[in-house]
Amino acid sequence: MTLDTFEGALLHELRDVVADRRTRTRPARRPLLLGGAGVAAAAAVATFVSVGPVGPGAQPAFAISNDAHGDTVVVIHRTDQLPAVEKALRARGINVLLTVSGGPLVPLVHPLPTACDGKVSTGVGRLAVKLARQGNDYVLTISRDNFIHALRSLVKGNGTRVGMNPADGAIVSVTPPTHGGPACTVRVALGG
Amino acid sequence: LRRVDVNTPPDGVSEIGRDPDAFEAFYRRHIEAVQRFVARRVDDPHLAADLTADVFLAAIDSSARYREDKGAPIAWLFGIARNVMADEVRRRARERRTAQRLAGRRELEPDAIARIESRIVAECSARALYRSLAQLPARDRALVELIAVDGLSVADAAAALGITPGNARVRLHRSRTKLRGLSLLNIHDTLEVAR
Repeated sequence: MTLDTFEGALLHELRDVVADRRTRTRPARRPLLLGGAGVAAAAAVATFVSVGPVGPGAQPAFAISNDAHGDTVVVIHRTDQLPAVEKALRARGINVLLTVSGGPLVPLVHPLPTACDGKVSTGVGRLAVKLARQGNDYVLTISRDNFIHALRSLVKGNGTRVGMNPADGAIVSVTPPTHGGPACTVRVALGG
Repeated sequence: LRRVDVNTPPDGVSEIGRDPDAFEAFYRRHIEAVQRFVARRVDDPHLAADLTADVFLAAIDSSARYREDKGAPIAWLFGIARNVMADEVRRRARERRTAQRLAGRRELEPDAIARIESRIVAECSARALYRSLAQLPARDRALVELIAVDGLSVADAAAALGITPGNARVRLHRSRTKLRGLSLLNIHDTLEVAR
């Protein structure tokens, strides 16, 4: 059956819950971006991941790296591989659901906002998300410090869910861990 | 009376708490039934969305305890959903006592709200039926609810509540008498069909 946006997002969250339960039964494995000192050490080493066609002149669909501040920077060249972006971010302990509003993930059917600075106040923490357009690319920056702070606050907090609507039409919403797990979900809908 | 399809394969239910792919198959098979179950009880789209999430979370938690010989997966899931609804009723009562504001709600896109609202409209008469059962004692209500409102067979409703079919029939007999006394003849007739 075709899932609507709620059903799809819920499935995404619940799959993570199940995967997290499985991970917790294996004490040798830990999420990559969840420990304080471990995060700082990992962030100090620049990492880079890209996915897309291979070959001379081929443009990868996206690239993920850490900047000098330890923030995770995602450069999205094409929107046809957003699930791969999500998967790569999940491997870093960041659960992000990326969708293009109004339909399936097809390349750039909607004009995207030129920039969106989302700083979401949860009442118990803040999470910074920055979206910027650079030519035909879209750069999503997730602040490392804010992410960790918000994550800890949300885990300790009472499960408040909040959302915001920046003036340029993008929607950023934060859903706390629904199951006491360590990851929080950030949903970034790129408004048309 | 609309009967739910209980002929779904039980294989993999015990795996849904460990295997994301098994969970996804289970979720896709039952998401519509769970949402309709919720829509027969609440008329707020956001609350319905939250409760739907809670039902599947509880199912993940309980999956290791699922036993195929105790009933169909959908009956097991409806039993869990009833507990989630009961928790919600208790939570709301607690919030009223402490005058707490309802914490934030799940964000819903227009397409999701439209689909949830259409289910809520479609289940209008079922909700009226559900509310009328409040006149029954709690232990009788649970069984009647699963049969008359949710369309489970007597055997599956018994499995959902963890009682034997024989016990369920005894309770139903008692409920039918009470329903006649309460002038809820439409429900009485439904239970007659479900024998």
